[in-house]
Amino acid sequence: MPVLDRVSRRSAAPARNGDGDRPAVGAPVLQATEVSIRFGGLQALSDVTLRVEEFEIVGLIGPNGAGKTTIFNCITGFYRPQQGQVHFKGEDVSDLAPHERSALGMGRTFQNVGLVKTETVIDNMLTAQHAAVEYGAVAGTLGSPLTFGAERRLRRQGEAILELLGLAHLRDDPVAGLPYGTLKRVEIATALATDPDLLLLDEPGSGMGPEEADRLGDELLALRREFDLTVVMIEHHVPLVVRVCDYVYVLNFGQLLTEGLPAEVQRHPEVVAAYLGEEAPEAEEAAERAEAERGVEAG
Amino acid sequence: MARTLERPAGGAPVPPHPAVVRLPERGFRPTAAGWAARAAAVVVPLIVGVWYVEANAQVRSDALATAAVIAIGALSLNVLVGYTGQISLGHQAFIGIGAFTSAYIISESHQPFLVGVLVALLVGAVQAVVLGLIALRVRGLYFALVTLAWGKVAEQCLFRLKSLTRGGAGAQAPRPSGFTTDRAYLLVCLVGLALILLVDWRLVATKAGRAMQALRESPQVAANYGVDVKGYTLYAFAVSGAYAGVAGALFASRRLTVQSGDFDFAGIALTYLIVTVVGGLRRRGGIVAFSLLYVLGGEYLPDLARAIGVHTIEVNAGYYIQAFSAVLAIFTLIFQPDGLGTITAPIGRWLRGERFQLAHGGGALGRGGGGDARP
Repeated sequence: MPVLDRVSRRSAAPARNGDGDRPAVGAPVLQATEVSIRFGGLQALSDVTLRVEEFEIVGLIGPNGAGKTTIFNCITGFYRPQQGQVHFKGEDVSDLAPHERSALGMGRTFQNVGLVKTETVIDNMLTAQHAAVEYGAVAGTLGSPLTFGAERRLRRQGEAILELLGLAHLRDDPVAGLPYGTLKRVEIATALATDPDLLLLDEPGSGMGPEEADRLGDELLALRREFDLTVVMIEHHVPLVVRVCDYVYVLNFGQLLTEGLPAEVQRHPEVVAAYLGEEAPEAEEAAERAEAERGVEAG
Repeated sequence: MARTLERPAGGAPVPPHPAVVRLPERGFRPTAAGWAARAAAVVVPLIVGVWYVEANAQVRSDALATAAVIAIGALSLNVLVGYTGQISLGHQAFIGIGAFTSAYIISESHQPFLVGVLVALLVGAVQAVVLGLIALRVRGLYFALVTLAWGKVAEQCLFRLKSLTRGGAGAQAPRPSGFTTDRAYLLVCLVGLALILLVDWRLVATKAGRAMQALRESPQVAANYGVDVKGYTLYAFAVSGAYAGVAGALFASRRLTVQSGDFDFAGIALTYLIVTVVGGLRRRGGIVAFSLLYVLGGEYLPDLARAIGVHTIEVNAGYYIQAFSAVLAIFTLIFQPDGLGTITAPIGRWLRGERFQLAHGGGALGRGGGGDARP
């Protein structure tokens, strides 16, 4: 099988990034509707609605504890929201288990690196292709002759992805012991090995300097092209978000603060206040007033 | 879903990460002499083994058959404890159910030996899956206690049901015709062990084994890779139970009669667990090697004790071997988690045509560094 119908799928992707509005191209790849989840007394998410169109790179930003990873967990099925639905490629996946969503084409990385650390890089790549394996578990265990060829193909596929990401030299290295930045990249490779249509990246740029983050941006754009990906990424690195994202959602205290094109969102006063930790103008004024009042009292 | 990845001819290639330095391929090929040495390393122990069986009394072959049975039982535990990260402290139930099933099929239903083994395999798998269903709900220490209880229930109640096991009289488990001598029966046990090793090799080399290893390390990562965590946990129990069923069937016919007293915690569950640990979790070769050492130790310790004149060891050799192995297990867990596999794994790689080196990339128990995903 050749590389999937890459060209035809790509031609459907509209020119975007700075064209002002956001055209809907058929059904969105991902649609989370009014997702709410509560942990005991903490309302972690309330009525969060996200829409991700095909081939978009969508940024998800917000301060710590805003619920970014929580919405990822709701999308991928690790958490079951008390309210709301998740539609993936037009299907309601709200009741599916994480492995079923993964098999449908949701690839995901974790904030603190989700790899099988006792295994080698290539073994992780093989495990990640679990859903694509052609033979059954019992046939594999009983040594069906078919499995040998299938295993070779899996290995080649894994190696090809590593090669593409410039990680081929790490093939036989155990995951444990690789530096953090490398682990982040290996994790992206394993996520690609699950053959995703939608890639959810949880802080891919964490622990990277500005230059590395810049390079990551180039890579993400190239990967989208190469693998026909739709990407949602949680990222703190604002320049990276502005550069690669087609659209940005901002979460704060479990609620959608705003959404829009990166450049607009970046200027949004409440985003500046919430995300950069500065106080919003009104808040500042209120504080000044309070200060003044206190001054009066003291005087 | 499977798509083959090729770089498109016209597509802009992704620039490799600057930190990447391409290393030369590891293209080590042994010389002709090297291959000869490897062949000799396989053939010579085989000849020694055959000579040992031929030169010694039948009873020595029976000991070797015991070693094969213990190896299969320990490999069964290895699937749970080693690959999947589940615990079983009730393996006397696993082995015993296989033994009594096979005995019943052969002597009560008058079926051939092979049918007895196959039914024992199936029944073993089913009982293990039932236990596995509990494992999905109860975890860690609590599940260990459940397995302990399961072993005791089997030992004290199930195996004393007269209608199934003939109670104290013991269930008859005749050997297959033509293989009734100890030497011939050793061959049967070795064939059984070889088949289990073959299955275990393919298990680990294919998707089920990888799924088990992934879910042991992190159920979240496994699920994210598309692995049905519950399904493969049950699958691991089924495989472990199937191995144990075979071990039980071979166990029964080795002894010719089996009764409930043969399947106690210390004699089976604990011993097999110790063999698994000292042999090395996830180290097939180590487990087989230590099964052999364990049995040979029991065989020769009395002679050794007589030679040096320690009477108490001479009469209680079995207990001393057990106690010594237990201590060995503790040391293994603390100092050498790969157990005997530390030695057997490099030998195995060397036999397959690699350089002989003790350390290897895929260490069994990596520590730290890999991160741990929490959803």
